[in-house]
Amino acid sequence: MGRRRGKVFLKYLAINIIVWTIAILWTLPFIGVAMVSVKPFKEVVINGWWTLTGHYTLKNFIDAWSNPIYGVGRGYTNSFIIAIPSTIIPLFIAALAAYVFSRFSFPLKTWLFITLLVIMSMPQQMSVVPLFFMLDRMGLYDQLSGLILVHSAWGLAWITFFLKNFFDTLPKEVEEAARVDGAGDFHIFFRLVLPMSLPAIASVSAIQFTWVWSDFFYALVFLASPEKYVVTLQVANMRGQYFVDWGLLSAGAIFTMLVPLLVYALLQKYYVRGMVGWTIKG
Amino acid sequence: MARVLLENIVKRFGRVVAVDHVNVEVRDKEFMILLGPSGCGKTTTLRIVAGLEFPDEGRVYIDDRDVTDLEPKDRDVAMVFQNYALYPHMTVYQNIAFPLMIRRKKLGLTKADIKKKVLEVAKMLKIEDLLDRKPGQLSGGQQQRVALARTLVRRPKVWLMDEPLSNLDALLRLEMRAELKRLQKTLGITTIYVTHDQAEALSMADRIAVMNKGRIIQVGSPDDVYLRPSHVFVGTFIGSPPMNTIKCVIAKSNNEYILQCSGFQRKIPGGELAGVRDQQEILLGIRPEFIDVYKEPVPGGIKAKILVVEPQGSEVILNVDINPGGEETLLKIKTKYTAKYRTGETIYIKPDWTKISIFDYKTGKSLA
Amino acid sequence: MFRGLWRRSGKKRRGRSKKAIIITFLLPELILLITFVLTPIVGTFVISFQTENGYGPDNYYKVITETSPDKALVLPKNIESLRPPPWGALIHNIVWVLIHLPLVVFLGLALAYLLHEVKGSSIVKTIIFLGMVIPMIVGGLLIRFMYDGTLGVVPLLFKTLGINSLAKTWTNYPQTALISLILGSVWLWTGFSLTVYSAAFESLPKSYIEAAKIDGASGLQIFFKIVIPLLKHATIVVVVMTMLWDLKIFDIVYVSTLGGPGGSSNVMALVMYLYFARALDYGRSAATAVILALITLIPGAWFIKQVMKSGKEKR
Repeated sequence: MGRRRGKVFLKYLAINIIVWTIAILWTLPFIGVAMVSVKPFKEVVINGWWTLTGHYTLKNFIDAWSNPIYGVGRGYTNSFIIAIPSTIIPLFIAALAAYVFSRFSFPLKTWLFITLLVIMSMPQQMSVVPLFFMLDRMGLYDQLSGLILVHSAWGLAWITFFLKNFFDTLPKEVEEAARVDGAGDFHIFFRLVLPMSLPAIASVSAIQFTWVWSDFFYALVFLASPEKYVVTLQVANMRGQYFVDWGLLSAGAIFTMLVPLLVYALLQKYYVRGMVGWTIKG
Repeated sequence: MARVLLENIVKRFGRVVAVDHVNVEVRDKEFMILLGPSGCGKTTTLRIVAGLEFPDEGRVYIDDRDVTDLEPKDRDVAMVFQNYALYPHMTVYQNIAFPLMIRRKKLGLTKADIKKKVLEVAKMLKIEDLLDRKPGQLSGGQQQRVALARTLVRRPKVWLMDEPLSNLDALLRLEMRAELKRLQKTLGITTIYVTHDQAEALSMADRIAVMNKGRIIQVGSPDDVYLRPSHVFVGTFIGSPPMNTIKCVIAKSNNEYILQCSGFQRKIPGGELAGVRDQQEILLGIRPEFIDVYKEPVPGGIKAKILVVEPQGSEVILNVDINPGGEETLLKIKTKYTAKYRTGETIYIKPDWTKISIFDYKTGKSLA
Repeated sequence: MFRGLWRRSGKKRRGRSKKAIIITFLLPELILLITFVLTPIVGTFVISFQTENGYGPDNYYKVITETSPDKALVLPKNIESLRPPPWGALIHNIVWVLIHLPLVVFLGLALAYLLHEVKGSSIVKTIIFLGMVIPMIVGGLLIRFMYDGTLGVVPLLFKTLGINSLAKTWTNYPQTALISLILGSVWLWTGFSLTVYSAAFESLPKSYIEAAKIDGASGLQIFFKIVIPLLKHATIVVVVMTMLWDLKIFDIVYVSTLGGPGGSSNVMALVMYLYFARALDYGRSAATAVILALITLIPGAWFIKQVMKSGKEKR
């Protein structure tokens, strides 16, 4: 009996050691960047970032935020201006479409649905060349509004797919009860289905917002003037080709990931559920 | 006053005929129960009355108005769902008020009117204390009451219920049966109720419509369907344990009919069996509780051997073979648990011949 | 007689209001999708076939046979001076999948299984999931940081082990640039497979495992004979999504090496961008995009098939 318990304990201990070692290894880059960001870079180069002694400074953060050329401060506003509407617009439009996909049958439904799935697997690169010319002709090139439209449109496919799957899980009886109670289609959608879908809406918002915030490629291609740059562009520009000032870059990186990390911290449950849910059903 | 009339209703799902030419009339203030096994079309029929499904053929009338093509909201019906279908994001109060809120303008109701009505119905169903809670915080029985309140708050013409008690535990179900029946009678609302539980149907209904494979087999009072099944399906679906059926042949001579069954023969008065051919194969139906058991031989008694004894508390169910030695012919008997019965014991049984049913072997239809 | 007429019109009325809802609810989505998604996708096809003298597959031919190190898809020239890598960007993408995919599947599955028995497993999961949350551009910077010769953990580790050939900035050398990015992307992406597998584990009915235990199966037998088959759906999801992610990879490479040095860490998406933004050759840029899209359609089609199948089962 005792031997068995001892063996079980050893196994438990081994597993814990393995897992926690991996977890600590996993955080090392984050810890490293955090340490570098609060120390003078010269000191870090000489002593390494892993020593707790030495000077601490916020200079890197101040410079990374407000430098007139590469400061991420300006990018912050632009990123918010783009990410907020690029979350709300597709969420609303896709919710309407997803409800139709979930509850009604209509001609070409299967093909439309397959089209959505194809779009989901398409790389962004597949749209860039014509979009570039289109936006230019529409006067939307190098405009935040152009980027909002592109992000909204490209968010539609996965959000529709995600919400359709969620709507499928809602009990139909509730809607039928409302129908018998006297409610019409609009009423049912806005007063029952949407409120009942708040968890899914939270998931979609968290993920779509983070994705748009994190987007680099579309911003790189469709924004030209530095005063319109978003934060991801700014932080990429901070990195010199041959010499890398890691103090500055670390602070910039922290600023850039701060917003997604906050969203994650606040909406973790929905975030993770969304990540898993839009690929796995149920 | 509200009368529901279903006229030749047909509903197909793809190739499956879910409802097959159903004709039924539900009288004013009547408690009508649609009874049948799962997949028999009873729920679809109910949903057609609600307006959640539209029939492929046939008409639906409420009173004398043709409502076949009307949306549910224009029919003045209310429906209780099996899983209650409470709106999860609304409080109990908001749930109950919902049907009134939607019609507020049409009915010219003020908030105070609605509140009065909600409180009234909440009191009737004893859920006044729960009005501020969300459905997720309620027990199954409480949710049930809220669902009932929501349907009753606007006094619909027709009250529809789809297996409303099936999610409750056994004890609560018995309690709710009585309460539902009382509510229905006090309020006098025409009610259509769907269930697969024959005991529930027998105990609550004014009339029962027994359905199978999309068709209505028999409509009648609980006594009718229990004592005078029009089809062998009704006999074997209703009752616990169900009716015994034994294959027999009828020998006809002059005005006499003789039942020839394995294990026994029996002369029966001929007047009751019009149109029976000589040597016709029939099914003899005997309810387990209409059989007397004797330990000693009695005149007219049939010898039987006990195979299994299933005690049920005050009663006992005996599984017997009435043709010992020959081809096994099984019978279930329900009787008072007064004597001790042993497996293998030989007993003598005597059916109550006034309460038997005779069905055609091929069509299953009643011949008596 | 009139009844029949009424009936038909009633049905029509119902149909019309249903149709109105469907159209109203679908229209905004369709307009946005057609304008900003479907038209550009078709447009890319068209542009990829445009040449100076009409339409033809020239762009594809040129793109595939290109040998300059920063744009080659299959093989760059002067192979002898640089032993592989570099290959072409397309080959790099495939190598990426071949190394990244098994590592991610294995790590995610193993960690999810182990985390069952670990206290504070949700903290570990949260930490590993962080790679999914941060912008990929920051992920790329952090990967670059990990391999930095003076600050990075990886070179430092090899330095302490005495292997000086690997105690340098990995991303600056053709021999190590690609593999360093691939391993770094494991760090970023394992959170996905871990999360999917954890969720799948949680939804596994315990009774299966208990039944197997009573039937006398060992821990390993349970894992391979019961758990893994039951996780088939999760594995499909992980494999498909990881492949799509690997094939579309861009930000990490752009910010840490820009495909260099000497094209040794180049990838398809980056080549497409370089044709577009540096060479201003839209035809070849589009052709590269089409090739990339066609390759992503391999896992994509598989994914679509799975979705449609599970949809049918539900019905």
